[in-house]
Amino acid sequence: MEDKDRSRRSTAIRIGSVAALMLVAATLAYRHVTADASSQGPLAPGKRERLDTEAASRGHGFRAPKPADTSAGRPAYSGPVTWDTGIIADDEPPTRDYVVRNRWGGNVEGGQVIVFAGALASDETQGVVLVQRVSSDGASSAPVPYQTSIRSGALHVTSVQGPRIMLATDTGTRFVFNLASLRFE
Amino acid sequence: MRWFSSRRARGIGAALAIAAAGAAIGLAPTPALAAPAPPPYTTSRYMQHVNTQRHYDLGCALGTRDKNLPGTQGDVVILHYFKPVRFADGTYGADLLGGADARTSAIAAAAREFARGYYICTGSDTTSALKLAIGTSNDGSAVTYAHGRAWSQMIQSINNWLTASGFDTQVDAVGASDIELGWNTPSVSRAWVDGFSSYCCPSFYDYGDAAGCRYDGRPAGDECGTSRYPTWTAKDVWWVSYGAVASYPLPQIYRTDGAMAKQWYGLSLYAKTVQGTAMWVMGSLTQSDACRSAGCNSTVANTPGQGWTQLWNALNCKYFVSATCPTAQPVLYSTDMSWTD
Repeated sequence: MEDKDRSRRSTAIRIGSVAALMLVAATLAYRHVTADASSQGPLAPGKRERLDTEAASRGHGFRAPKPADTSAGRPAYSGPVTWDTGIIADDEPPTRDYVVRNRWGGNVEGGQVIVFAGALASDETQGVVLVQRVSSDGASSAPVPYQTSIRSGALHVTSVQGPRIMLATDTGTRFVFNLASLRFE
Repeated sequence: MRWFSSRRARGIGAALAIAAAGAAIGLAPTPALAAPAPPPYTTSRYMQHVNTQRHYDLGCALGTRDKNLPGTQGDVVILHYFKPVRFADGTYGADLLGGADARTSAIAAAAREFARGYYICTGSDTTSALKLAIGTSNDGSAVTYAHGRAWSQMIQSINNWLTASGFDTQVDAVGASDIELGWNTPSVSRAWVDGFSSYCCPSFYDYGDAAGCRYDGRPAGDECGTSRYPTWTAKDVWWVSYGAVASYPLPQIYRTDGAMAKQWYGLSLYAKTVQGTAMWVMGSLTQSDACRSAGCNSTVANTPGQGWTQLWNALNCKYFVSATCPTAQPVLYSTDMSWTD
């Protein structure tokens, strides 16, 4: 009976010891992983020094007052936003999902419009135009894609007549996109 | 008495076991455990203008949000001004996509207003803080050492102004770039980052991708790169995103299958095993708002919470279990791209 008790006690103490070690390990791990930016972990050499130098030049305790009327701090009108107009030989795409050959910017029915011409990045045989509307204060809509009905390659803008955008592929296939109806004709 | 001792020992053992199990379940970042809740995400923006009023309003909207959220917020916001440009007079700037090209002086003026709007509109909240990441890309022919240095000088000028104006208790500016492996060579991209790092002391966030890098749980290697620019290696990606003295990664984690998060685990593992120190990844960048408005494939439309959780899980060895996680770290930020500028 005494041996049995000793055995139980010994088992319980072993379980307790393991549990205590787990608790310590878990706490240490938790403290490591929840560290915030102020205790940025083991930074690569040179980084801490640069951060410290940058921090030393800032934060001298001066705090600007905050007006109750938040619009009081709003800057004065800085004039209308200007947009590139005409056919622009720039292949920068609005997103990585597309390749762009060129674009056109101009005014259609009183609103500024940008038309990117190109193809899908994932399938450059699929021609596409992206139409983006922008306003005079700079706010712009997302570029909306319209695909050609046949796959004949990436498009580029060749000319513009009113709301009609004339396009061609590298192999000479021609398309017309109408900005009024937002359709290929 | 002996019976009592034995029962007490059993009781102590059981209590400690329960406490330890509770701690393990609730606290420890072991691979088998769930990620914590993601932080509130911010909206980052594709910017096609440098209108100061619009910038103030956007900053004010974020400040108002933080004021109305309980507790202290730690935000990062990327203002993406598109690819670098060099003007005929030798000054530098960014392309603004459809907008007229802008000089760094105009971008700085606009960014200052975003910062001021944030500071003022946080009102009684004096502890929330914003990292304002002012971004360009590695796309195009104007990606040079000199442009990188000019971008860093612009950031430093903004930070000097924030300090002089008394706004730096809640806002600081960092340089940033969407460095994509399909847009330029590693040598050109590295040169830009080196130019940025050469001017003391702003930090730099790389919010680009790691296209081609492995995502099978092993350290990234020479497989990185794209069909157009196949010479990228893990060392190049590590250098632009963390190896350079100013650099920290804030990677794009938009794929729903978790592959992008796993790529950054592979890069951090490379950093640890080859360069000696794991990366410090600042946060995750998703594009769900941009996808909602412009449309995109559902496989690349992680929500901010999904992106952040994938990154946390990857870096904290939930996908690739190891006894001691060599890349374990907290993930501070979650931000999501929008076309609303």
